[in-house]
Amino acid sequence: MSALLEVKHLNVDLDLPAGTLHAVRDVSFSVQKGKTLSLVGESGCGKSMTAMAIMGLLPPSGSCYAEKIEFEGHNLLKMNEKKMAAIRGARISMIFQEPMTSLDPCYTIGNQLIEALTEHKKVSSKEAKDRAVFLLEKVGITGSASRLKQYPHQLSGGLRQRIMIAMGLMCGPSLIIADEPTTALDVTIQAQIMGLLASIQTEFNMGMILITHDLGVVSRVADDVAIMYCGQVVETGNIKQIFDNPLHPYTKGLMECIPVPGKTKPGEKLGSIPGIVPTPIGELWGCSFRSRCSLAQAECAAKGLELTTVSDQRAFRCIRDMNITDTALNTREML
Amino acid sequence: MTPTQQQQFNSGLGMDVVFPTPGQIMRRRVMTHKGFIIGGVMVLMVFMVAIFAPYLSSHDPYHQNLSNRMVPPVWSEAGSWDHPLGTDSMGRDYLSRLVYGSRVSILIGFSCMSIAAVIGISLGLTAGYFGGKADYIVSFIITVRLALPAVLVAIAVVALIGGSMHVVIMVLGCLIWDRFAVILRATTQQIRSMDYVQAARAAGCSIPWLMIREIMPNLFNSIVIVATLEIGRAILLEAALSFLGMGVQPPTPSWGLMISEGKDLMLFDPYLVTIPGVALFFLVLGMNLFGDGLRDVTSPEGRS
Amino acid sequence: MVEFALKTENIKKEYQVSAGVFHGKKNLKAVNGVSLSIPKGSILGLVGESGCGKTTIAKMILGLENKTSGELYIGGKNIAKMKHKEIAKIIQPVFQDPYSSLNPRKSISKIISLPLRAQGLSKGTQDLEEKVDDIMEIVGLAPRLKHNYPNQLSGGQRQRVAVARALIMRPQVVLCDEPTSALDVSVQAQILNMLLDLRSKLNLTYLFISHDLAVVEHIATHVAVMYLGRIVEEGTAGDLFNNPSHPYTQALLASVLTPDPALGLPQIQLGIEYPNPIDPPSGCTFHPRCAKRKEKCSKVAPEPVIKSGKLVECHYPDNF
Repeated sequence: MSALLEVKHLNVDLDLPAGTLHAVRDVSFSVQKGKTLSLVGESGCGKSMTAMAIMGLLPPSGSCYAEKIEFEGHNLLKMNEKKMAAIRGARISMIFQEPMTSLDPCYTIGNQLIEALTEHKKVSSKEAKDRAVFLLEKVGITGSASRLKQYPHQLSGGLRQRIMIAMGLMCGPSLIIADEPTTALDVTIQAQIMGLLASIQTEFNMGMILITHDLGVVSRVADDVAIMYCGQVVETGNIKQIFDNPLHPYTKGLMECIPVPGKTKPGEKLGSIPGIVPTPIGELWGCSFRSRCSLAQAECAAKGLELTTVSDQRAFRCIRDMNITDTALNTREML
Repeated sequence: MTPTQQQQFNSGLGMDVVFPTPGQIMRRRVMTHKGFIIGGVMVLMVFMVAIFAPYLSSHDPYHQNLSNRMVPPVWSEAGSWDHPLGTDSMGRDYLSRLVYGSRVSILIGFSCMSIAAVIGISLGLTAGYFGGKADYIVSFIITVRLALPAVLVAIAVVALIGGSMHVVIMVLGCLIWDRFAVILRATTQQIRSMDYVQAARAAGCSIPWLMIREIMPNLFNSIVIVATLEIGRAILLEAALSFLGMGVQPPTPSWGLMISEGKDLMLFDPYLVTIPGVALFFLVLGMNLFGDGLRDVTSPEGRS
Repeated sequence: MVEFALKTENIKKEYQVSAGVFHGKKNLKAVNGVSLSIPKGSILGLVGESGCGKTTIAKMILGLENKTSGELYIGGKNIAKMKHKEIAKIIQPVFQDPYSSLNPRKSISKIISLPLRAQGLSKGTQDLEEKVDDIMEIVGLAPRLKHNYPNQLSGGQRQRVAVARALIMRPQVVLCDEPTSALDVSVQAQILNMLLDLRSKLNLTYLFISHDLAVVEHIATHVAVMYLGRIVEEGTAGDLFNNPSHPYTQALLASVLTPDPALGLPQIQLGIEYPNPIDPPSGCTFHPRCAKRKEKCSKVAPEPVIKSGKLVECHYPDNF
């Protein structure tokens, strides 16, 4: 079965006064229909830039080149702006982090929902309205008739995010890209929204790319995971593999940082990764994690570090072999 | 690892990127902004002319020579290099009057702006910081001021107490503070909600300390931008007042007055009007370009 | 006799908000009678979702907002009798956003030394510098960063600067308002470790406000859960997390997504709308969203009941 979206060797560069920032370096992944791929990483790792590159929404200072970005058989790299605009919102939908600023405060919910559909398809306003009502019910919002007339400022964050999801579904896309969809929401709403996304994905058999830094969310929702650090993919696998047996020192470090009720002992020191993320400007070689890794050796600075493929879809970027047994990472705090 | 080994280890990581200080960022932007540089040069030129006026003028700008009236500038047939820009209806050297007139324009521009700044910043800062009743009162004052036509009020005041440089400066200064107040009120409100203001208050800073030492430095950008625009505005207003006979009184060389004195003969000897007109245009354009450039150069970086 | 670093007695904060042109003004009860007692040396985690009033309480405790009614004691003294500068010496804040909590126009050394200079506690530039160096080392910042500006530092470094500024006067209580919510996970761990370390080193008491229950469970000794301006459950961390009694606490705990691929998503029956504080529900304010509600809940507001060190405000609590 061919993939819904296939990205091969994607690179994104940003032109900054300080030099060329290599925001995304040699990133490859594929998304299957009905499955969720999660791009996981901390701020600055390039996960949002990757999504922007796929959608053709890079800032003016950004440029991307890749071996392949193929969606439903179409080569996205070769598309001009007009063709990309026809795909955005219709075939690939994006849901952003801030529901407060994603909706236009000057138009009613109904207006915005209907526009999301009529922008791409020629339908009568009645058909568009019916679809809007249908989708509002699907996302759990009752009393759709009156909701359509409301303005964004009258609704809470959780409701707005549900409406964003409904908007994204208006044209029946086959791929959803959700960029930190629940980070700005309260914790009880977070679980509800993630549940909603998961059920909608199953019902409409869509693929999903979930971009997040929250490993907890990933473990409950995703099928496949790609861990990103400093613009590169450092580990891939399905969730069972990643969480039961993380191979890359960064992945292991991340897991040890998270306080888990029931597992980590309250009041005890959490595992931590010392230092800060380097800024990928200029000429780069070697492992980007070596400045913070307790297992680093001189060889880690050598050029040409590729992904080591362990099995199908399972790979990691490290010179060590997969039988790493070292445990607790250095908890040096000085920067 | 030895230090050299460490350095070798770290090369190729992007570790050595150093982020510039706010001062360095601004300096870099200043060097590359065309409008800023051009405007700055224009203003600087007028400044130099004003400072070195005695050396640049060949005659006394007040000296009348009725036998030498209405000599055209050097580029027309009857002109001579003795009076490069000709003479006016009283026989006074036009170049000298132009050069000394720059002093009037600059002096008035900066003085009015300074008075307006003091009034406007105090009002804007108070309204923005305290909100509530203080904001209500200050907003009302601003609205009243905006409803008054500045030129007419200035004329009325001058008509009452007579015109002179000092009167013009006081009156205009007390009239053009509105933009300061409005912009500073908005900016102060923005800054007021920042956590560092809350933290400073929680640390025990008194309110005057907060306003002057924590908030004001962040208002500096807005203040300078508005100041350059107000200088231009003040200069033009003074020219208008002097044109109407309500500003600087003759025989003081003011560009507005020069236009006024030449307006009757405008159709026959247009140089009397165009020369000071061009000078005004040049100075105000320069100030505005400089102000626009400042705004671009000091716009917030956001998070890097 | 337990010494309390911080104690509030039934504090309330009400705002008058306009409810539209023709409806006059309505009463917004942001904090509706909160009584907290934080023993010296403990860490009280205050949890709740947006709109519950925890930020308003923080502002009142710091003296940044006036309370409408109630009493507040810091270090045993009533703040009504204390001058603002005195309060500042005893309690200091660390805020959530590392980007807006530092003045972008001031150098790091000026930011950290601000409390000393504002209070007139410095004995000259030399003394100030020594104190700044000292505190920077304690929080794990390289002293060479003294002359840098906030825009040159990372989020974690800025948060350390904020902590250094809070601690330079050696306060008794540190009020942390979501101090790690805006930070990356790896940096969060560093900061949390540092906070725990400093607590024992400098004998501090923390009021730790957060919506992240996993973090609170890890760091807090006592926990209080807030809902619409009131504390609905309070107790020691172990007790509350292992035996939650209030339905809201149970829902909150069930919402925590631990990294466990074997579990799916929890089914939380809470309804999708958070109540509007201007128009709170009758009786128990939680009843519209409570799966266990009965007749009484919509009519009568529950009274707080204290049993074996735990406080619960519910008509039908579990494990109580």
